[in-house]
Amino acid sequence: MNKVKNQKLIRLLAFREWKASRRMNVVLILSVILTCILFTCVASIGGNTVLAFQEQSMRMVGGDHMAGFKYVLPPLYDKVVADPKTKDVVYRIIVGSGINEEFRNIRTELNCAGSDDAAKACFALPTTGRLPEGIDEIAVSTLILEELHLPSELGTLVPLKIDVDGTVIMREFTLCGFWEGDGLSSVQLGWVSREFTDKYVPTPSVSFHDQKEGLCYGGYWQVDLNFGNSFDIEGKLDALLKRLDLDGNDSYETGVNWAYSMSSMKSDHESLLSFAMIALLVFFAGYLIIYNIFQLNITANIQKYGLLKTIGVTPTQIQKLVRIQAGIYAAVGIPIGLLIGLLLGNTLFQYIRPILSLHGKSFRGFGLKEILLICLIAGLFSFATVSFSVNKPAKIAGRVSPIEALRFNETKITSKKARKIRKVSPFSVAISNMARSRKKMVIVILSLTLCLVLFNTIAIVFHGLDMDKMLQHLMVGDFEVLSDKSSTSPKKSKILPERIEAVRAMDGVKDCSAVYYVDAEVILSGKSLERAEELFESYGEAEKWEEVVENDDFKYSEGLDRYLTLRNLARGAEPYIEPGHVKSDLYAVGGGLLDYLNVVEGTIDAQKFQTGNYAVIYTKWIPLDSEDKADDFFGIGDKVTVRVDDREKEYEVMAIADIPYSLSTKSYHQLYAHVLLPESEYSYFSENENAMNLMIRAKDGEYDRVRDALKDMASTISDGFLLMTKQDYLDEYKGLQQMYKVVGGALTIILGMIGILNYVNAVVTGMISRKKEFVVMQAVGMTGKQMKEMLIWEGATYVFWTFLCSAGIGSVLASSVLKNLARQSAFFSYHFTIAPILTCIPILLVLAIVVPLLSFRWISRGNTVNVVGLE
Amino acid sequence: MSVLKTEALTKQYGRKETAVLALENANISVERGEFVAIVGTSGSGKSTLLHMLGGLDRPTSGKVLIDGKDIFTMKDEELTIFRRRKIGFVFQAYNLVSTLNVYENIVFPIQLDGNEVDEAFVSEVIQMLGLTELKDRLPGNLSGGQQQRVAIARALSTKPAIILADEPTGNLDSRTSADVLSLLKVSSQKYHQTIVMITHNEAIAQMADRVIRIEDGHIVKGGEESHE
Repeated sequence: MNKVKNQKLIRLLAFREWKASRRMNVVLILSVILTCILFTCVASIGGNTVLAFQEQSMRMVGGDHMAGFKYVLPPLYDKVVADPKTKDVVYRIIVGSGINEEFRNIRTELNCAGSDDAAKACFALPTTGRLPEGIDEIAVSTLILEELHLPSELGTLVPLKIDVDGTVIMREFTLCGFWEGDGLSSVQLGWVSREFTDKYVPTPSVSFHDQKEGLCYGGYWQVDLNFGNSFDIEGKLDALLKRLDLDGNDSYETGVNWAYSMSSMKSDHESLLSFAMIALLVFFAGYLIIYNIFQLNITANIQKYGLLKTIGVTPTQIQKLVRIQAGIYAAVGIPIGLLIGLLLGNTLFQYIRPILSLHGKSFRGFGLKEILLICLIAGLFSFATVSFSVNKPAKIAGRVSPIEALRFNETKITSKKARKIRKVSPFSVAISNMARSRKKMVIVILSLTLCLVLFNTIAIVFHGLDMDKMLQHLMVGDFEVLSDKSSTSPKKSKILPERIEAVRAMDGVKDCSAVYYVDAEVILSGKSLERAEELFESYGEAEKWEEVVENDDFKYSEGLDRYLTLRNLARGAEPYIEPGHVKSDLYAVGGGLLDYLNVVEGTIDAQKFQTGNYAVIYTKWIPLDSEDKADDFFGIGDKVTVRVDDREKEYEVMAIADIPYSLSTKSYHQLYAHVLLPESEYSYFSENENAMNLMIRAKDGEYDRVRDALKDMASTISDGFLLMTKQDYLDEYKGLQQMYKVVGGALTIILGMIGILNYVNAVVTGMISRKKEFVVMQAVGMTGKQMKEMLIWEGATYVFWTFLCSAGIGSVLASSVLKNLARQSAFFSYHFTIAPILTCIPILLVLAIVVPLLSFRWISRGNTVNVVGLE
Repeated sequence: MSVLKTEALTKQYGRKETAVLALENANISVERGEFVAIVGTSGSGKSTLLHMLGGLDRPTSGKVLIDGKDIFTMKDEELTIFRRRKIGFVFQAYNLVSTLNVYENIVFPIQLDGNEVDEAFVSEVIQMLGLTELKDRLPGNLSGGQQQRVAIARALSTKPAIILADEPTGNLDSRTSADVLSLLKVSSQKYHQTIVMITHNEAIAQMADRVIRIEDGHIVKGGEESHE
């Protein structure tokens, strides 16, 4: 009872004190708001990123339900629906796949949806029209209609060839509904009616795994379901299996939507890490300022706490008082911070999205639930920062000795004497003042340094965005023509010879170099084989692969190829391909491309190369447990034998160099070799006359003309002529620049504000706590002018130390972390500079002069009697 | 038995060469209901003595016994609570909480203890000190004499056994000083309180029952059995 009452009293006092110190409140609340904004921004950008990744994954998976059963019979569906812990259970019936010739570039599946929700769960609910009801009705994605060259109009007749487990059904359907197809999805869906399904694809009588002859898929149900929340879906699914009495029964195939698992973020653990780093930075920045302000506040009010203690306020109660005040600041500041932070975070995310390559066409953004979660997280973090920051100052306030309040007079007297004797100069007083509050000085300098270093870092990154480096990764020359956009089937060569000729004939084209491609093998022998085997042994890959295969984790045939290749390489066993043979990409390239090769070793002599006796080669080995590429097998001057089917030819290695990424097949094996030969050698290995890619350069000043001509040409060709222009990438690059500008700018501004606020606060509170001292100094004859001079010296000292620290830390950071980053980044080159810090120094100097002078004026407004008198 | 007693109380500031003995081996004892004045020149150690009597400052050695209890065996928290129940302070600089009004300042120590305010007693004190009209004012709007009367009221409000006053009239003119002092004396008599007051004003000291004289950190007169 007692406790409750005196708590009320402390609260009353806290509020009164709070009301009495308006200026300090503004500063403190501002700092809480800033901290909260920073946290909310980080949380909402992070949250948005996770959501966008999740949505993108879902669209790639083709469903938004958490888990599902595959290939089941209807009774199981009823059981799952009846289970109390499942939600939103839907089913669709497998029908077959569309096999019209037009579907070369897409995979088409036809199903029968159990309900609108089932279609919705696959992102395939007709936005125009409805799901089919009649036997002849069909609903499909617009991408299917596009491939069929049909208009997106209800009532359109859709002729389809449907493969149902080997039986082909041909039928003309009437379009009863459609929706915009998603290019991200691996499969394009179409819905047929139940009537159609029952007639052509009846429900099987045996369960999927009990089928005797060959596996049929048609007629089996896919059941998808949700649980109450997405935490530990696998565990929940196991529990469900147990409840349904199905555990240990292999005949049920289940799946968890990996969009929900954090593993989908695994590939992006770097961005998670950077979010954690940013959160830590914010915490630190927030801590610095809030702690600093409270600390100074308490120093300024030390007398008040001493006084309260003489009256009988206990240390605990004083701590409580300080904490309650902090709580008031948090209560006012955090909601405002949350609101601004949410708005800002969402705006910033729009700029960040492109760089994360989240090309969501309709990213749904936050729902109420997510917003609440973000507010909760950011709010908690902000509150934690405030509580953490106020911890020490509160303790200090609690420890203030009661006679501190009384002793003040005495120290004043002694200092008066001391000053009289010493004959002060403004500079010496400034220095001794600074030395006296070293801790405060350190904190202020640290927070200023933090924002300068960050500013410098952002400036270096921004300045270092390297257009050439970026474009080199994305494209070479002025234009590229690709056979195909898809990187999953890159090995199509569809660019017809007559089209190459047409391009070459265009006005303004300086050079049009073709890239021809064929799958080949490189035969290692002699030195290169020895080197390869050495490497293989030294990396211990043999055992590793052995293990992988034995553990039976290894099911993917592509990997098996690699395994066999490697094992053959090591042991010369198993005739999958012969020992010492490495699967390789053979590129025959036009002369113009030689300028763009990424040369590692040696030089390329274009004339010698054209003789056809030389090859440029690039071999790499990606070890199993690391992404670092290991060494080359070939040295300059080695002989290399290239084989395609039964045609073989030997070349001398001229240089170690790789084809530009954008013109390659864009797919890599664990162990791969790229062999570059002159165009003339291609006909020896392959009859295909089509080129895979073209690299085109325009003459000076003819870029626009060539672009227009190429665009015209591309628009008349429906297949195998995909035009990429430099301008497209430049535009994209501009977006990127914009993003850096906005995000970096916002971050710097906020941190800059924190730094400056911190500085201003340090100066102002420093003055309040020294109010009496100033009067004393004036009393002993220090003129206002000298006083101001002293204050300026103090400010200059701050700036001097800030400059030293930030230049030091900034240089170290730039030459280590940023340099490293530049090495890994595709579009960032490193140029060392601390110019941004230097440009900030004059601004800081101005502040260092203006702020003390203004606050001095503000302080000296109180008359001397007021200042000298206690309370 | 004396209500307030010190045993070989010593306070030293600084260490080694710079050490200053503010108070050395002080032994005083004060009986219940006594009004004692401590006099001495500036820097003689009288404030140091008073601070230690009230438990505001800890001695280098020696004891302070209040009602026979050695107050420095208590922890900070405990000592604070003990102080606000047993001792009322009146300072030269009044030391009122500027954000609380007169009434709130007066009842503040009571409420800190979480106790109900004895309204009858408090209004009696307020009336006696002539503060009835000023009850709602903030300290900033009061004259020095008025502020000191509030401070006295606050010191009395918890009905402490001892009132320690450190130059209570130091900031007041002589007429106001006399008023404040007689109020202090009257009220303490009324509530049977012990008063220990510091002053360097001999005239004021003469109002006390006994005068303890202190010079250079030594009790030279009136501390009962003082050892030189």
